[in-house]
Amino acid sequence: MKRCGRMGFRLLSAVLAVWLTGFVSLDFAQLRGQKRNGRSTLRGAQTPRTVDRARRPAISRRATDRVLVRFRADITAENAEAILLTYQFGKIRRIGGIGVYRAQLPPAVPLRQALAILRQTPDVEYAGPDHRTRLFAVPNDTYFQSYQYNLRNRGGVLDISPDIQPQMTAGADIKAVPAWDETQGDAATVIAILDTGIDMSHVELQNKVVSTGRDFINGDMDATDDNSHGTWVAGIAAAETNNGEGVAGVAWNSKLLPVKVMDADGAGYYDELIDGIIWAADNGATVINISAGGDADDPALKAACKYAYDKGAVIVAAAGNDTSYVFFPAAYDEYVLAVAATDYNDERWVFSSYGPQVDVAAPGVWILGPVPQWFAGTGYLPYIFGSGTSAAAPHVAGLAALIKSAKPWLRVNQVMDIIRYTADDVNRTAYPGVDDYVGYGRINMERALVPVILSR
Amino acid sequence: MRPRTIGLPPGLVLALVLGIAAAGTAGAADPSGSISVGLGFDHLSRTVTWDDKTHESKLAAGAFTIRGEFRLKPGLTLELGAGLSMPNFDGLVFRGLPISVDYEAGAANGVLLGAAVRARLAKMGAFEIGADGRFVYSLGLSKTWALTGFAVDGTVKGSPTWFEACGGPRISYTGAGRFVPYITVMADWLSGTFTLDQTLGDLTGHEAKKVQAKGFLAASLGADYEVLTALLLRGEAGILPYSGGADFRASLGLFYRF
Repeated sequence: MKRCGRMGFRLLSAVLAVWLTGFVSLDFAQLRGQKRNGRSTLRGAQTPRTVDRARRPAISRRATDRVLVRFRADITAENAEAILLTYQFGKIRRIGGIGVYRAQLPPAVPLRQALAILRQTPDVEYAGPDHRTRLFAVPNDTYFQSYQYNLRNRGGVLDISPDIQPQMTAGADIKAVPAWDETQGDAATVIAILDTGIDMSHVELQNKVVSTGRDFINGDMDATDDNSHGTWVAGIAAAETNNGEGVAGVAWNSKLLPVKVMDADGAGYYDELIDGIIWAADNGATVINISAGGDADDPALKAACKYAYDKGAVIVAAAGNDTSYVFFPAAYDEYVLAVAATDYNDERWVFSSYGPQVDVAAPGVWILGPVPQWFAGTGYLPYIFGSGTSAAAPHVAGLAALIKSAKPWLRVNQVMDIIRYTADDVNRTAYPGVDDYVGYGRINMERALVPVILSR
Repeated sequence: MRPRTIGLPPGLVLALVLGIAAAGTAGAADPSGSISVGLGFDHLSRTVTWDDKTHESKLAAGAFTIRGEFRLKPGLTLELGAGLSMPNFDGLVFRGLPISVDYEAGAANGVLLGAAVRARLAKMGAFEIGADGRFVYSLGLSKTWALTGFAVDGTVKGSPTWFEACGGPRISYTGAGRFVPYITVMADWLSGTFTLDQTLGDLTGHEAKKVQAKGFLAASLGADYEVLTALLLRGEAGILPYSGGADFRASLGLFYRF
């Protein structure tokens, strides 16, 4: 645990199993702050930025009015400039050291033609467009680099504990970083978390909740989490990101709406879930995440999903754990995206429920997310590793929120189709195409959000 | 697919007005009824803005045309042309489609139709004062690209359309024999639309990107040269200044007069 030691943490190897109303199982491993650190709670989150970073400016990826040119080594600077002037290039500037010239295109000559001319010139070693540079949106959250393989997997060992150190495959992730360059979501997009509530005082979530939500278990307007599951799920979807601590969420700038439909034991009934779906749809939810379910088909539950769908909410639900069928409401194919779980090698999680209703998959094994401090315990940092389709679903909910942020005019079925069609068919060797295990495949945020370049 | 609409641009109105005015004032020295046919090449490079002028890129277009010039009456000429245009809309970005697209595919061909009216209004010694009006319309031929790398098959179909209208005074010098240089200063309006239609599985999307040229003034220098009695060479080059830069266009035509 050298890495954890450097970070000032030690890992609690205890693995807990939580059973939520018989439809979601999780394995947890906790991170604990070192005592010598003398800090068991985290500092408060930074003030949220007010800059609207929802969308990358719609500009071309390269300048259309200039080129970069390098001449052969034996061409003097005078000759190089003379050549450019001969072709009527203007505003010639030499970049010292490497003999590269930046030159404005001649009047009336398009970029492609200018490059063709230069590339045919024997004295020119290289001629290319002046490509646009941009900042890469890599969040500075403490655990992003080391633990959040689900967002960016660079291979190596996932160092969870001395006993749990799986080898990861680079690239087995949801391609979050390039997608964040396109959009990081906006505050107008709200993800309702229908779960055990949300710890609204958690540093990762306190600035993300739009209200104290609704508690259908206790019949009040305070959906505070008394279990931990909802907080963990909410953090995966949209934790406070780029705040220099903790974890990154999928949808950086999206907001969260807590809706408590399960009790402290992780148990609930369909009536509470139905109430929650309708309430969320009526209270501004753009996306509804349900990391829970039941094994009975119920017309009222289906009607609630249709109600939210018709209201414009994208519903994402966990497929379930350890069954050969997909739970409800995930199984309502027309209205709900059913999400299976994959791991750090892009392999289907062995306990992920399967069936023809599975739409896509997302990482769901050893996913780090926030939990209430009381749940983590004194001296422990309020984050936890867990596994299950419960963790997979909020990845998809976050992606749905980003798509809606970038393109709010899209209809629900269009968002669902974009998520399906842009997925990576990670089990194509055994099951090419859409299958019962990962559906269309593991979601690919980059393909869903980053523009396609139409070229010749 | 949404219907395309094209408003009547100021340049076209000006051209028509000048043409009509010229019809009543043209001199009587030139023979009427003659017809010339020829070939021409036009090139323009215009800086265009889009998305409410928040972004800009270059529109470059070349066009090969077959032209007919009809001398309707002395001092009044109507020129009609048709051909192939090759507008290049590189740099446009489409964020209104389900899957966003950056266009970098180069020239997309189109059918070009054009008309020009040239009228002589007055003659002062070796100088003639007249008016020119032109209208060019390019209807893009659709081109289809396959969308690859997705779980389902998809395509993007693109179709560019643009027009340019301009009109203004013209001063010619007729004292150099077969060589007749002229200068024009015209109000110029160029506008276009590039539409993309996307299909990916059950997803469909349509986005029309309207572009408009920066700058509304064109100053050109040209000349007619009578190579033979029946053969006329016409060349013209123009500059189109705008705030922060200038665009350019040129044309060359060869006419045979019957």
